Amino acid sequence: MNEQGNAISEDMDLAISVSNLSFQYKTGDVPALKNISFQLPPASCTLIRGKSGSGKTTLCYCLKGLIPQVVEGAFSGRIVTAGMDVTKYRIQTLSRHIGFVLQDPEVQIVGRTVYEDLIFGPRNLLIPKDTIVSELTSALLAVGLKGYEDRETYQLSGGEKQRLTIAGVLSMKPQVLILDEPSSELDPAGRRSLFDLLLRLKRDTGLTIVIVDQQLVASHPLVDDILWLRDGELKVTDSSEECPVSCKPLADLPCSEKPAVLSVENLSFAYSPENPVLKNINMEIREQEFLALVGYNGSGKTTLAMHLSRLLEPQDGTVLYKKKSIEGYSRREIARSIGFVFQNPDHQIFETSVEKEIGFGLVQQGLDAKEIKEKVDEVLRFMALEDYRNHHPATLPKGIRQVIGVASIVALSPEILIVDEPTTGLDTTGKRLIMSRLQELNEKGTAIVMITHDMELVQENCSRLILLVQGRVKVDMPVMKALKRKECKDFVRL
Amino acid sequence: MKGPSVDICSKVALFFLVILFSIIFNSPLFLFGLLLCTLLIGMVCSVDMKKVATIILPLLPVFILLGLCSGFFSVAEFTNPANKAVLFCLGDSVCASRGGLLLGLSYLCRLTLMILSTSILLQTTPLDDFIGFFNAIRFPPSVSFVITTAIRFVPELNRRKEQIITAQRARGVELETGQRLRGLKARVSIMIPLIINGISLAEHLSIALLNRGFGYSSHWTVMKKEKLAILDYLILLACLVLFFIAIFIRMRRSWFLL
Repeated sequence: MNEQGNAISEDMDLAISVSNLSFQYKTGDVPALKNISFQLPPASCTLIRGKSGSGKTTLCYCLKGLIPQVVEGAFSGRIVTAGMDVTKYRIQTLSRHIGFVLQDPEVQIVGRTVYEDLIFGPRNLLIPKDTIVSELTSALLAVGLKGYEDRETYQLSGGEKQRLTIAGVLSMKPQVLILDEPSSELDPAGRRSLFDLLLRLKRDTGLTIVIVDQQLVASHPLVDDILWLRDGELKVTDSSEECPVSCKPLADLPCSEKPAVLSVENLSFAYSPENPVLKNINMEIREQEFLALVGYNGSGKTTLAMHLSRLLEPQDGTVLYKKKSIEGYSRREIARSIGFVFQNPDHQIFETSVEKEIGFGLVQQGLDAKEIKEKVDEVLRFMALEDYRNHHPATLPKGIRQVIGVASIVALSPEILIVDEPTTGLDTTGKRLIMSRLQELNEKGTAIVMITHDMELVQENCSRLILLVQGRVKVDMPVMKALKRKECKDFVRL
Repeated sequence: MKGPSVDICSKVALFFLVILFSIIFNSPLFLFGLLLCTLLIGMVCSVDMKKVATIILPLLPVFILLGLCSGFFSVAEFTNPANKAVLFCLGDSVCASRGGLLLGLSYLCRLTLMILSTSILLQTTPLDDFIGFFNAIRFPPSVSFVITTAIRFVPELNRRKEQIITAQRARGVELETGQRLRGLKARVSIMIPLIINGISLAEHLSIALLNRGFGYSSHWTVMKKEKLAILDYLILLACLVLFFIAIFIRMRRSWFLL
């Protein structure tokens, strides 16, 4: 790659300049981006919004130069980021000026300890040792990880990993920082602290920020401008995205008065003796209830939910399903009665078509072919997946795969459905679809337990809320009443 | 990791010496003694023996089977004539010899020794030291980084495997089922997402590495100049002496051999 010649562009006074950008993936049927042009000033923050598949991530890849350098496809147009034409420099050279944070922090952490990971970028850029060491503390301080130098990276919580990822990129002193869904797995407090950090960096260091985030509201002081994408085209505004999830007025949803179908008594659990995750949990789930299970990252929500469906065995205490210990039921019986939809649909998808994927659980139940076909047809209709019936699930967008994940459990017609962050990374339409289906299932009699960090979803859909703090139930009451409690206010920071 | 601070050069020299001893000698008594010494070193270095056990225990049945097979089917030439003695026969042709069974025990000790010494080396050495060592011996940086990154991502892949198994169990998949075809299908439901996840992980990792400037130059900033301490010189000297003694014994004597 020629890095000589027009090394420094004429667009030096702009942080980002995009002209007539179009791109079509090698395997794509239609262009992912169509004739996009915009300019962004330095020390500004631009929020990119749009539905799933509208081209948000593709645009981020283009701004960093990963498209067309790493990802193959038909590329045209001109992009100048941090004063550099991104097609004329190697990605490594661009990395000195343009930072890029991907959604999943796990794949971006390369060091065994926080220290090893943080110095990785500057070392690659041949920054002198003394400079690296002297700036290490300030980078950790900026992201709230001071004192974490010797901590092993695998021991960090999701929020801490995300902040370390950002620190790792910031330690390379970029002029432009691009973030793709950085807050999708953070709790409200973690999200708030991330946005505060970005705001400080923008104000104090003049960093230009481009961020794709479903949770960041346009009115946040961090946001200076919004780019709306629809089907790969830049739009002035998109009214369908203005109102998150639904615009219905919030009402106090009545709690279920029906008998408890699942109850937890004195449950305690620890993955290692020195770190107890659940401490003496007592709770119950009533028939046809819509329960929200919320809490900080690492508070034990998923661990508790896994006990509810016997994916983990209690070390102390019991879980009773229909007044009988859950350990007395077979794996197949539990799968049929208590469904569990995991956050990442890619952990379960393996069949060659959507139809087979949804039918897989039914095959495990030993149903005959006719019954399976009828049930799969019903679920495909119910989850609006008929158009994808014969598609290979792995080739479909993340939002659709998420719906398939839910559908494959719904097919088992469970009495209780546990969903772990069902709307993470989904656009408004995807959220609406999933939530409306869950509501309908609930109205038909299914008890729903939803683990989420999205408090708007909780207020709109759930009747009862359980707040976990460090493995203990701190709040367990109707949603509207719970939100007035100090513990919930601290959690949500309303 | 607590324990005496020893340079990676000394650790690697000790590691290779243990591997060499375990390969060129086949006396089970000698190898068992070597295994105990290695175990002692591991305990002094505060190595997490539970982790080592989780690697060794699932393999133990295979090792034992291998040892038993060697007892019956070993074609090795034994130095000691007593080892050629047949102990008992199953049928007319399948006979267990004394040497064969002892050789089986040697295999058991040898394989355990290899896993234990590798675990001690990996658990007591930061990735950074490995990279520094590879650089010092003029290994290409890209090759050394591939090795160290692979080590870093083993726990991550293991974590994903556990998540996939849990997700499939939630759909009613039973891995331990009496029916072979059903069991096979259950394993496929684990393997395919694991492979797809592995490919996706590799793809994202390569992008993440580019983002962090990996490959910007063929070198990188050296953070720590390796300095050998007196203890390291003593270990390296001892390794060198033991190496020549071992070669001498193997060539000129029949000690520690079956």
